[in-house]
Amino acid sequence: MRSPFKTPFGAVFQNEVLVNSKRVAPYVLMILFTAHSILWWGWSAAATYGWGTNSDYNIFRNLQGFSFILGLPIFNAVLMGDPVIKDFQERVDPLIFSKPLSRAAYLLGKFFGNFFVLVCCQATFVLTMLLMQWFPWSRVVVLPTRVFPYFKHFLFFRGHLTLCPGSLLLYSRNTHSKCQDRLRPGSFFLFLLHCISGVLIAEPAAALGHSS
Amino acid sequence: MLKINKLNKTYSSHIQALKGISLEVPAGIFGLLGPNGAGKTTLMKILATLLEADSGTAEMHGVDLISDKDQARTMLGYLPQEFGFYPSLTADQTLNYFAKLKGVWNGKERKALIDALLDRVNLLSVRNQKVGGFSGGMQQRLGIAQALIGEPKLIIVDEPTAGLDPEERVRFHNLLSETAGENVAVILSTHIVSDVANICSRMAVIRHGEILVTCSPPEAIDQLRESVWEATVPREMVSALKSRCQVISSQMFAGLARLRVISKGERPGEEFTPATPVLEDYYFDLITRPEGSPGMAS
Repeated sequence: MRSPFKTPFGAVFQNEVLVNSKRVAPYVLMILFTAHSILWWGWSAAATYGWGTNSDYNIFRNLQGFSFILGLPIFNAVLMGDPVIKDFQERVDPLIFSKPLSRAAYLLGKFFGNFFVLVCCQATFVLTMLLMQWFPWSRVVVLPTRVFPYFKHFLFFRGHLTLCPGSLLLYSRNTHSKCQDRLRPGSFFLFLLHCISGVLIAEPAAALGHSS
Repeated sequence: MLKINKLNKTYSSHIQALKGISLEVPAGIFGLLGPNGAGKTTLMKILATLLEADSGTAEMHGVDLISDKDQARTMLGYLPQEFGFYPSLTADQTLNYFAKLKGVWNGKERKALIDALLDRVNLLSVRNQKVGGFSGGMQQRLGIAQALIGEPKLIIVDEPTAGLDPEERVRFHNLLSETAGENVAVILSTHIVSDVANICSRMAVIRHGEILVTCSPPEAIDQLRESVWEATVPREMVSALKSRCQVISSQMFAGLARLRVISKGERPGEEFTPATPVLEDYYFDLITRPEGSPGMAS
């Protein structure tokens, strides 16, 4: 079986990561998210009320705030959808589409390439929180070191919140990218999948956060 | 090599861009000449599988470029009239991306291919520079390099020399001439007549979505032998001469007008001297004729 990286989808995905790695914006986002993570570690409600800063509840609570304040879903969606429009504006599209590549592979490669970069940026928020466990303040309560809850909440809660509006935007932008016949049902299906996963996964995760 | 048969295209704005075009394109460089809005770019886009034709076929090596797009794309290289690259990527990274899209997955093979292409278009020394800093000519050469990936059988170049300085133009002509071979057809769409005269072995003239004529440049020039006359006259005389003779071009300079006219076998006036016909004379004569009049060659 051929590696997904050796497909047109993989080529577009890798190129999108490469192009983003040369932009300033992802690094600015990483610094911003890291700074906020430090701020919310030492000066948030957890420090004020004496909650365990690395408790399930506080991790989930911080991610909720992060998702809606810092990583506004629609902002994420634009970051994932706009590179497609930009290719058309900058006239790279005729060079791409004269190659043996389907529009579906192109759009999905773009979408997931940008999603990957965005998730890497957002992961700095969680990774900083994770690392801060080894630098306890006198004013914060730190439970024994834990790793899993950070990944669990980040991937399930944050990931689905990012993909959900992203797929919706992909759905709407397909009108401009001339392949709505193939991609529209796909992106609508993705949107439904994220909504369902939001109910099935994020809610129990939130309940778990409250209980711990 | 390429057989185009009754190709039609009407845009949603009801503009009929192609009116049943039929054409045979042999190996070598084939020039497609026509004024702006003649339908050249529409035809190029259809052949490059970027635009749907309403009807007709375009067959090459048993593959219909209109219906079998995936197969067609493996054997074509396309350099559009207007195109862009990712400005932050280097020339090397840009070609690497397009080579992957063309299906060159083996890393070593891809590297060797990119090295060879960059060398061929004289960009090897700037391979690690960002494309955003390239001049127009360098971008055009990188454009042709991406079109050559995967040894295409059909190369389509749409208005490639517009905006290039004379040196870059000659360099580009040489590059195209080296590329065209026994098994490769290059379609050069342009409104610059000298481009066709310099490098094309065959040509067609298109106007209002119809092919007016198909011939070789020497054949076209031959038809005007001993028919082209030239005169430099005061400006005031131009309108009188235009009503009397078939003027194919007039150039103003320093209060005078240099006219070129066609007159078969008969000197149009005392002020006229015989001139050596060039392809531009043939082209201007053809496209200024009223619609429906017969072509001069076929």
